[in-house]
Amino acid sequence: MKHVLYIVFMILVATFFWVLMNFFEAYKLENNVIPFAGLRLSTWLENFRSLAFLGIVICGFLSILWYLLGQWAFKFNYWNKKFRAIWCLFLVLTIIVTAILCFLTINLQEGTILVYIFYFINNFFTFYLGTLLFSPASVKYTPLGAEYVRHW
Amino acid sequence: MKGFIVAGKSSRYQQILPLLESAVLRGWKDANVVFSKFGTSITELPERSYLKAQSTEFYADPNINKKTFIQEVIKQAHPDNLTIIITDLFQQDADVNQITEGVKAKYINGNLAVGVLGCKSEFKGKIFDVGPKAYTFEYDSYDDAKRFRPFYVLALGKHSDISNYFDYVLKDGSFLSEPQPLIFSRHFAEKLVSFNGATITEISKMAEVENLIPIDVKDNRVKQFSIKNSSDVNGSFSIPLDFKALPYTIPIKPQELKPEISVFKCGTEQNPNADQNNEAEAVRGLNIKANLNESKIDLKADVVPTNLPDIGIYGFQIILRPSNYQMPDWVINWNMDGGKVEEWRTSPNDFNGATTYNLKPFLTNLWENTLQIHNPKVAELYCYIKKE
Repeated sequence: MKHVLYIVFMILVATFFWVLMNFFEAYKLENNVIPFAGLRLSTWLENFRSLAFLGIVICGFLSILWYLLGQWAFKFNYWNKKFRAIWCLFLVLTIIVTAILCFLTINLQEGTILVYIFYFINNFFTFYLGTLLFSPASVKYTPLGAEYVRHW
Repeated sequence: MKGFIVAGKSSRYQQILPLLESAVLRGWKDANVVFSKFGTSITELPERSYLKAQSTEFYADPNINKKTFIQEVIKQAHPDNLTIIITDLFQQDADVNQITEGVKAKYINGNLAVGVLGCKSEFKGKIFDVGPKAYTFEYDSYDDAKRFRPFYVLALGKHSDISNYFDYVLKDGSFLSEPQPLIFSRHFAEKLVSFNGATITEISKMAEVENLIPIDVKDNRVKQFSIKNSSDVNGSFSIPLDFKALPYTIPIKPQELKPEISVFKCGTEQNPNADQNNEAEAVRGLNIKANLNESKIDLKADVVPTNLPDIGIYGFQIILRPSNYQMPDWVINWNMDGGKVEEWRTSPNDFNGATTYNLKPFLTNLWENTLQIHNPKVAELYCYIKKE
């Protein structure tokens, strides 16, 4: 039951970033980006929303995968620093996902940096916060900074 | 007109006469054609008797052949009908003004059109009413096409009817020598130019958006943009617009179109105390340059956000009108040099019968009246710009 709950919480973290993307980031971008000729702002925003959603889903999946591995695949009784490398690898994957999204995004005349920042925030923190707060007991201190945060 | 019937030849003038009826019968279903001959008075011609105009006896009627009062024909013509007048257009100065006034009052003022189809034909005979003193000259064009004498098919009525009529006459009139169709009308294009099918090719410092006006308003004349409230950066965009000129209309020259811009602020109630200075300043928030090239209008717009007084949505109405026109070369070439008339009086053999007295003033008058009354436009566009 606790496992289901933690996975649901991880999904909620991803959902939080999806809401942030849709209602805050998209609004900010609407007033700060300028697409190239022939492309309407609404069309570009649709492209951004689709790719950002995809990034959040992949990184949310990565956090759930981390949970499943940590709970049922890694063989130990207490946290082991060796698994931090695997967690860091997942973290790097979120950055790779961000890079791919940046590549796939339709070019802009202005505002590109802001778009990249939003992709990074969404993908990185979906995984980081999900794993920081809700990693299974066996690896709950593996995420960076978890030893200061995880008191449950 | 008698001189256009040349003995031993089938002149182009004779050949066009039956074509003038057949063009109507082919161009319109259920058309009813009525023929008249005119001069001093107007007489209706029953059935196919108009074909007697192909012989010289037709022109010998002493009740008709003293003077040619085209203005009477125009007076009697019904504006709902398509009226066709075959004439050599030789008019005295005063007559030119009377005819122009008649055409203006009945046709141009009534949003109707005037068409002129200039043709040339063999001629042998007398030419009357030449010059301010109404001299008469003998003239023979022989078989030299450069010496053929002009005659004109004047068409009065709806632009579409005149255009359709000219299409059929020209289609079947391959025998005509140098036919020159021209229509004076407020219409230049099949449709007023809009943004329909057009894509912005360049845009800078502003974004094209879709959400400034209600979503169910779909209008091809409208484009919407947003621009940041920045003091040192102007926005701009370029867009080529499709332009399809109607055939036979007067050429536009030079190519630059004249924009007329008016502005209103959206979302505020009408305020009689609104600052007029603000509105005058807001008009300067949009600068338009439009050039007509063949079948495209290249429109370039510059948006100056500092001239838009407040943040909000501004609606700009942009009307493009031709800034100048060029009478076709044939009008100038076929116009008689009035200054040479006295010279020809002393050397009649030098008389240039391949030109028409007062042609250019008459056609120029007609066109200027059309311009004055209608001031034709080629495009009407709307840009909504949100200053953020």
